[in-house]
Amino acid sequence: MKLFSSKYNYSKRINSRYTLINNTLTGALDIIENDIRDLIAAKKFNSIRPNILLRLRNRGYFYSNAEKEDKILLELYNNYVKKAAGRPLRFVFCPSYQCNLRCTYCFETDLPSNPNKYMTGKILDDSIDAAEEIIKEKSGKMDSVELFGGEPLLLKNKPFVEKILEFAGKKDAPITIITNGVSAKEFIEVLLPVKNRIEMLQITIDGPREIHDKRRKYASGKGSFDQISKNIDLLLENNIRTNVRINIDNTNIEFIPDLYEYICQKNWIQYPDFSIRLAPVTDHTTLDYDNIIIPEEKLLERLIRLYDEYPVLEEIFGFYLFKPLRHILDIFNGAPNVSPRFFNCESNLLELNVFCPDGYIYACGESIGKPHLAIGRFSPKLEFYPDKKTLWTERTILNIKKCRTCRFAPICGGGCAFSSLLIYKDNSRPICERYQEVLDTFLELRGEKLFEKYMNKL
Amino acid sequence: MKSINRTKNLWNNDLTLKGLKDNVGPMCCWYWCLWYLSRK
Repeated sequence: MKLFSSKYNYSKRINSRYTLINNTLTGALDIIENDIRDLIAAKKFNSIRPNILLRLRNRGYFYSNAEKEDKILLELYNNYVKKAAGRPLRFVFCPSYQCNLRCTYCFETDLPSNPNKYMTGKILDDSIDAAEEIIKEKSGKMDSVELFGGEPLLLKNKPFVEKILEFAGKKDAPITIITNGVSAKEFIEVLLPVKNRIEMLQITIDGPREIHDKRRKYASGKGSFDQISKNIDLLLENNIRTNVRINIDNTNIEFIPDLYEYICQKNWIQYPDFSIRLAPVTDHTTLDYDNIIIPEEKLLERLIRLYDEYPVLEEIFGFYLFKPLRHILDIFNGAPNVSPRFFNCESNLLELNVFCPDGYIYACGESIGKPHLAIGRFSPKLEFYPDKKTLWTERTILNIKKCRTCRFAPICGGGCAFSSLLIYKDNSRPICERYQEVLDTFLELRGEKLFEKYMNKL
Repeated sequence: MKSINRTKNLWNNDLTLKGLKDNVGPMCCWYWCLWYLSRK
């Protein structure tokens, strides 16, 4: 019988005996012997033992009909769209476009010059009314309230923040706050009444004092490390769930061990309300790399070298920060499967309503302050722009030409819509991330370790 | 041949909303962190 290989097969030799294979559409992840892999590569399917061949077919690596896979992809997509109608409703409030820091890698450098620097009382009231109206029209439930900006925790915003948090309480919604943390002390009294519903207050620290202060500084040039550190102490003493994010790039990655040592000295790690993670610095305005933002597999390689030297860091931070690895890590960690990803992120499903001081509603936190990308407005009255909504919703791996032939499309989702709109002024261009390179690097350097861990579990 | 995920539900056409959330949510910015924290 003639067999066709799936478009979505990925494989990588783990050692002299075994190869890992993955089908990104079905989610199947298997280990095969290298001789089978060689037969597959040579398309000598008839030489593969029948029981193995049957299993490979059952898991979606081969089809007897070339069109079958496309049909399955479409069926899965239709099912996905149906389920997506029940997505959570999230409301993001940006009380101001202003910020008290001038971080070197900020992606919002145009915001402070926006004429609508702060929400007015009327704008805030309109945003809350609009949220009520949207909830009423949809599920009736508010799934989360988030504070973002600019910097949301500026002193001038305090009465507004209080009102937004009260609104979240009234709606029984979980709260997330993304802040630089420098003024957190002044907000403790407004956070305490809602502390049980704060899922995460995120503060970024980029390294030990001398490194952090070069990156995350005030307009005066003064560093923010000491102030932030004191405020984290205070938040944890008040049992407020605090997550430290470490933005890493080529220039600060080697200082992670120093920062970790500081965190241990501070004893933050002992607090149940403390968590920590790494996140790569990204720039969605360009596809180019420089000395700061390097290709993801290079960053991964540097991180692995660091983990080799400080194994405790691998236990704490792991590899989830790399998008191309998440599906494999999930399955190795016991997830029964991962579903295909037809979109890049929640913005494509219009899950977010980002309310900004200019009265516009944005679908993506990174697109704020760019009215041509707004999906509607909430002031003076609530209205949505259907043509702008489709910029986000119609961007799927079925509509992006290059994605139709990419083996990683079902785990990638086509890349960032905001990038496509910004770089190409077009929502249908692929924003290709380095799935092949990152997966290859990871399996080259950690494949055997992962494999051994798995074999020991059997 | 060893299958790492042994689910029979390949071509997963019966995702729970949670599954869907897990898969869509974590791509961007702080959502990924929330998702990650919720799984720890």
